[in-house]
Amino acid sequence: MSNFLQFTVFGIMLGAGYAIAATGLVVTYTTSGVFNFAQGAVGMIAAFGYWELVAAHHVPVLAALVIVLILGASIAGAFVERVLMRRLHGASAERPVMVTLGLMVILTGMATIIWSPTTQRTVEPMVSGQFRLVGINIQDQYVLIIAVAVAVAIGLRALFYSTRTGYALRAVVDDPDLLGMSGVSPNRMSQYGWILGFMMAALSGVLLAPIQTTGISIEAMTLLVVSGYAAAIVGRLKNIPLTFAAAIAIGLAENYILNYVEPHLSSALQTDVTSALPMVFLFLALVTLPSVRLRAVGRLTSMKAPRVASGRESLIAGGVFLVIAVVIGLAFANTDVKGTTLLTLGGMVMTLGIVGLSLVLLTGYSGQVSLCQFSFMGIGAFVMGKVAGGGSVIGLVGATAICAAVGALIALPTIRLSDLYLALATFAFADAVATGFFADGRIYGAGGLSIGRIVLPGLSLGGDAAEFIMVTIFFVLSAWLVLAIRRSLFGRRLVAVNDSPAAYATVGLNIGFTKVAVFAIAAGMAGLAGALYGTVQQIVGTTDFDLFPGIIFVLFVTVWSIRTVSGAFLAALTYVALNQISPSGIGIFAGIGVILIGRAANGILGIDAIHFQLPWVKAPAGLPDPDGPLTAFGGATTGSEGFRAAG
Amino acid sequence: MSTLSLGLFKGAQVGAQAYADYINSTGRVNGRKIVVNSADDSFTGAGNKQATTNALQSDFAMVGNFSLEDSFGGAVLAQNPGFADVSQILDNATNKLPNVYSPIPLADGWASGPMTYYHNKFKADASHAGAFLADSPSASQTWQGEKYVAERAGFTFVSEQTYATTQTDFNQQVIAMKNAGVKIIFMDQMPGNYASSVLKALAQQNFHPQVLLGAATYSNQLVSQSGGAANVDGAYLSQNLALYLGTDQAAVPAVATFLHWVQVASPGFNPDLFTAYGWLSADLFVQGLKNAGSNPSRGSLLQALSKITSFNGNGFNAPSDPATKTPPNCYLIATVTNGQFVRSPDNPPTTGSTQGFRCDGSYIVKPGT
Amino acid sequence: MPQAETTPAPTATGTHVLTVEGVAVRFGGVAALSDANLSVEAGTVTGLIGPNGAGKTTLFNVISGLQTPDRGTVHLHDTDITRMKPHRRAKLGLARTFQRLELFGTLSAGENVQVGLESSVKWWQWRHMRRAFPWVREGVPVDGGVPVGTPTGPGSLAVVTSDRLLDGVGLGGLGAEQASAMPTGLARMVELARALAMAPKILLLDEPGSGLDDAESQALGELLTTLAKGGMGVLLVEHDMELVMRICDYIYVLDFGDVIASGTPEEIRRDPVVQAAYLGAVADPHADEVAQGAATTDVGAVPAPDGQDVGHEDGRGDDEVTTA
Repeated sequence: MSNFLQFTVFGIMLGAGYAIAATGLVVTYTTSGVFNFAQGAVGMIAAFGYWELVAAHHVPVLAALVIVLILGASIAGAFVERVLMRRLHGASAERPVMVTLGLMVILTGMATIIWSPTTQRTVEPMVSGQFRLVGINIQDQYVLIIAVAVAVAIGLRALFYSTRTGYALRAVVDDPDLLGMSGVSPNRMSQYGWILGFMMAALSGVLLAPIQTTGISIEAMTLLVVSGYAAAIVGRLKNIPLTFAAAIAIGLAENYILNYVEPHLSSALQTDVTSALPMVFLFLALVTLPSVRLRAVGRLTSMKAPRVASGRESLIAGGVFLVIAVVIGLAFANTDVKGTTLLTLGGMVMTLGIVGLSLVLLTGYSGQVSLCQFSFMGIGAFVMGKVAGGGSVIGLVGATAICAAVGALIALPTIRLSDLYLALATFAFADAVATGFFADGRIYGAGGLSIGRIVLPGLSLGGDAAEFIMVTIFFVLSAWLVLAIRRSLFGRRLVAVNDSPAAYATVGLNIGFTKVAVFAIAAGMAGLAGALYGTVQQIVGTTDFDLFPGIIFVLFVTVWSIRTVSGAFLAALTYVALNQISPSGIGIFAGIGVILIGRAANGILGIDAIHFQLPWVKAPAGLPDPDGPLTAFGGATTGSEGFRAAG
Repeated sequence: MSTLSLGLFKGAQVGAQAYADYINSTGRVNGRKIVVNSADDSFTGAGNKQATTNALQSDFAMVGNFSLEDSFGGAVLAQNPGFADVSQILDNATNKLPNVYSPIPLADGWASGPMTYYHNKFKADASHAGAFLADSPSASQTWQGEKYVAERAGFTFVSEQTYATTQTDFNQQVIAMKNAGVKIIFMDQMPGNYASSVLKALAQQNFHPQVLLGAATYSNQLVSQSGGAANVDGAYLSQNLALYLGTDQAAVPAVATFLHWVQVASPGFNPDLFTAYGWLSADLFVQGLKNAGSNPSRGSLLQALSKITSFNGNGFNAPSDPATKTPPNCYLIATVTNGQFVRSPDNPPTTGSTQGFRCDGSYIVKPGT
Repeated sequence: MPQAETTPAPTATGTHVLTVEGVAVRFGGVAALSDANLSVEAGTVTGLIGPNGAGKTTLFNVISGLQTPDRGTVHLHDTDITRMKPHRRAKLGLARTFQRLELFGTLSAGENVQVGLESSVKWWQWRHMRRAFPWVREGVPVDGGVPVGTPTGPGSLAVVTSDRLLDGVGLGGLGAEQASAMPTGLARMVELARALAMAPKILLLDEPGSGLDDAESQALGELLTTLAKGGMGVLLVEHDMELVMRICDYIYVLDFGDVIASGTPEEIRRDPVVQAAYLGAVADPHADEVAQGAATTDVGAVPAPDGQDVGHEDGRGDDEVTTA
């Protein structure tokens, strides 16, 4: 029995940490309508900043807390709202997701450069001392965490429901124009909202830092918040007390599993289970959510859609591309680029290009954000390596089919919910797969998984040149396929379901079926890409398909153009190139790129140079009628467009 | 030559660079200067493979390489048997390649000497031993080897706790050990930051079993990160390297040289185990180079390396046999006293024939491994 | 505007296509509908009028499935569709347009209509149609006055049909225009054409006349009358009284969530209750559009003063006050 009590106490402490992180998420969402994927990263920066002040520069604790929690968080929050988020008013729903993801990779990239991972940095608790409970000694810091979590939950609830400012903070999300008419500045309320959210994130980071006794880690702190996702979801992203309770419950459940279930598992399986738990809880939480009600929002997508190439055009373009690529590849076949050949890099570009195409289909056409395409790549590579000893066409087929099936399973729990939850689910899935599946030594082995090149009767594809030609052909075929889909009935439906789900349903079409179908297809494509990637590299390892690179790649595609085939290719090209030049800086590039792009749904390829505007500059006067065809940046932000929060 | 290190293992690069600087300052190798190129494989297998290939083309040999993704580069090394890699290799398959040499070869067994020593010293505690092991397959495999030798010496393990690399708190596991009646804990494979976390948890739970540390734990930051000398004092350390972080700098000249040149190569750098490995790898490489004569080629270097059957870094490490890839069975014992690592009087003097290392026992591999 | 080609479909007079009984919807503390009852006969144009905030769009949402009522039932012919998902109701023959355009902005006008066409045909019928493509083109089957469409591709049956539909609503030749680039008035017609492409039995129109000038309004009226003559039931929410009085066979008046009056246009015009509540205040039909512009939202959640969580669905608007 005393064991149970001890596990319970630890579970509550674990949950309290989640509660603080989750509350911050809810606050930001409630006051800005944006799910801040960078919440954990902000907390991480706060923790490292605090360490820097206190441990490296011996600033007194209280002063450091004020600097980080009040000054730093306010300035950062206000800056992010003004420069990053305000320009997104009127943009399509996945824009804020991309921008906060961009912010996350920028922050983690910067942190890695400033604070090198070789040093161990421990943060002393804000309150020293310990007390005894059920036979164990507990740091007072934990009490501080719980106390603050409770105080915050109560305080915020009071703020939001009993004060005018609180009402205004919530109202600014629903209808800033209406709020403005009642005399309150919507912009100021948005600022306050983001500042509050950032303060919560910083608070979370600083409070949790001392209990990371092995030292604060950039990645761990950034992803700590994933465990809070499930709690925030159970709280429906609006109910703080419920979020708090859910977080405690999740902490308890995790700890009971850790101590009662895992000891009976092999050590490898133990890590797998521990890594997968946040994702499992998140999916369970998704089941508790009520289905999102279809709403007629009347959004004005005054964005010029990219022109879709006709069948003939795409055939010709594809053929030309194939010829040019093969010629260039063969001409420079043996050129050495930083230790690898141009052909290998070219092969990587082509296979990543296929992943990019899967994103065009999924995100570009039907507006759903997936952050786990790299995970499907990894699964595809795994299947390719294992089936028939690698090197078999069946492996390709298997990779595609299995990934499509897994994709359908991932998407199913989220189809009755808004697309934000798909993004969350894919984020959690990617994290779980990277830490729990790929990292398991039995999957890729300590030395990585060898994947043989494809063997066809009578055809030798072992050489680098033949391999490059093969993957280029696959890319071109995939591009044709994606364009053909776009021109087809299914393509129209994909675009339609994104443009107006309400109309889609009332026209007699099943939203859920369409969404699961496209997700499965995109997953299958990514799986195929992974299998091919494996044949290019001939060996893949535990970290080739991690969460962060996957997210960075999505941002690259977004920056170029997530709605066109060229965008996918250019993204792959620049990603591979930049990765050679600066593997640690690539995240920062991606993040800045996506922020500069702002609301332009058509990315760089859609920019009308004349109308390009810098983040802090207002839209110039004299722009064409908002009802007419507008270029990417030229949108006049008149009141009537307003800010339509995503349903 | 070139080195390949992850950001985490930067020490290896610094160590190799330090040795290069040292050698270049004392008259070079047969008149030739050693230049170090380094690359970062950024944790990916493809990166490691790329960097190895790169090194292959532009450098004479690879030295001081330290990576989790060895076998990727290993594939390249296997395909290019004329290219030497003198590094502390973690991956067994790569280790067996004829063109790969480690200053302190690893294998799947464990030296029996320390186990016998500890058993004699802590007889009363031996029936209730505990251990922490990381959750990776390689750590698990190494542990099986160590456990076999420990049990052979008379230890009985009542609690083996697996920890995840992402774990940040050890209180629950420490309490589990306490509840299991553990009296002596083997922590010799835990990297410093995890060990310090365990030591903090032990202190917090007022639980004071005998603690056994190892080469991975030997660090200048251990005491400060563990919350002070009180939490570490009384721990024992056994490793097959001298106390290179400072304690032995008077007794072992090679250590003094090491410490001096590390600061030259990277001022302010805090040396660690990887730094030592980098230094020693460079040392072995240079020995091979010297033995290869006045006009060394890649081939003659490999020839020379294959003949080095005894390597001890001038007292830096226990004598090992790189040529036959036999792990050393000598070791020294140290304790933590007043927050400092102190050589145990149970070691022979550094001026003796074994240069301060105990050489009882042998290297034992668990049958069936 | 050319006449839409129609063939009268056989329907019995007095058949209720749509029946709404006792529908009530509350948003937090506010009753958007308290006890709504109406029915629409096949072959008639029925009007639904009332002041802003009366609950008209909410009623539409209940009928089309975007809003679940707290009480009451909705029947399509004899089928109870109260709890059915929107897409299933559409398959049974219910089509609607929206007060604020719900177009597929990225698609062209023609493609918008095509999506409507394509939603009503099953896969195997398609392949059959495509194989039989050459001679099927000739005799296009028609159902309820609207051609039934099928395979895709330029020059295909679906494209031809969607062109014809666009023609029928006065948008001939505009099939290739991107929908989001079209001015509101024309865009409304695209929405209408898309609804018609579903060959519906009952057509719900939410203020189709807003933004139209007199000539366009006239043409719209004629189109709706023709559609009704072909057997379709039309339920029309409108503020344009002139249009309503002209073409409606029957009118319901909604105020504060209740049907306060119903009858023929003449009866409604003379009803003192209606005059007091609504008609009297609407001497100028255009004054209403100004009032419309001010009332903003389909999306607003007004914080209730009693501190109750008015709620956010995934953060926003579970229980909203919908102004119509």
